[in-house]
Amino acid sequence: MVPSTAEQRPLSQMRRGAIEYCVLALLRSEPRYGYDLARSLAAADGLVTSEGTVYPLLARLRKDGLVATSWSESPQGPPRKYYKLTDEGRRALGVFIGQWRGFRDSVDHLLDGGGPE
Amino acid sequence: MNSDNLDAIVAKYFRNLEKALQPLPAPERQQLMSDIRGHVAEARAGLNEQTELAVREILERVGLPDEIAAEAIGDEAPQVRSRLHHLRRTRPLPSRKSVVRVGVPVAVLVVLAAVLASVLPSSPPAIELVASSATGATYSVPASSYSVLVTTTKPCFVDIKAPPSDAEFAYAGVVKASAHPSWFPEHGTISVTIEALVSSVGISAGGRSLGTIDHPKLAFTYIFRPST
Repeated sequence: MVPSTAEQRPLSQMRRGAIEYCVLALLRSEPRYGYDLARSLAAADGLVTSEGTVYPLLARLRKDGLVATSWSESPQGPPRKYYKLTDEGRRALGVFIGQWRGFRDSVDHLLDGGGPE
Repeated sequence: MNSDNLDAIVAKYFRNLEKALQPLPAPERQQLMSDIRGHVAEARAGLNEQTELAVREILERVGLPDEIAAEAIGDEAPQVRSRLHHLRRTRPLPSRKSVVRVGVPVAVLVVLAAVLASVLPSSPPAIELVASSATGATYSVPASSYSVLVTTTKPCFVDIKAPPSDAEFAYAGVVKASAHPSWFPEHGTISVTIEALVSSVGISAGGRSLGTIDHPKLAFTYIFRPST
């Protein structure tokens, strides 16, 4: 059954808050090129609606100074634009991870029937 | 189907994408077009066999042009974007002569205004709290067009809805830590939610501050409504 618009809204809003940090997390260990990033994100259920929608997000992360880009030759096909985490991006990711874990634990606690502590 | 026909399918897709991205300023539109062209070229280079079905599958995975445009334009706060784009298109940069011709009288007027301001009693307009609840507060703003200034000492998530009842965000993103505020030009009634405890939200119009809310509450909805 296809979820209704109202049912999709919470996922859409959570996605908006988390997606850019998912990209930063993918870049944590090594630089990756756009096609590779887009395929990885599209493969994760519910994160992006299509591979193409990753590029506006990457452009914004670059504009915000959270990622930097460089070009490299490819063994097949056209040259690749690689994205890597900047120091600022690494800091932003660290802050988000702490916030996310606290948020997730609080929501889990309430959804599991717990009251305020 | 031969290679020319497959290229024609791809070319048609990119014509539609470029059309959908028209609201974006040209440099950003060209950047996105280039990135997505690279993506399709990379995907095609990895095919064992160039068939119509394989190429159409690649384009389907890339997504509908309108879907990509919605993400790109939504990312950039549509009202801000369209306003900036409009200004860029309709107001070319002034020449040096016109800057001098306009600049001198303006400088004189500024000096006169400063002198008058120091002599005449004045009560500058300011935002006013008109209602509050456990989940939000409403302020009246003495201007229909104004800027929201967000200052934060650590990256914080900001949601701006215009109008507040809109299910889609006008802006939803992270504001960077900086001593300088991030500006969001707005018009009409909007709502602002700040997901951080250490920041301030200011309202300004015409280059003048209309008020500042220090340390806005976490996940609290601030509504700004023009009184004019």
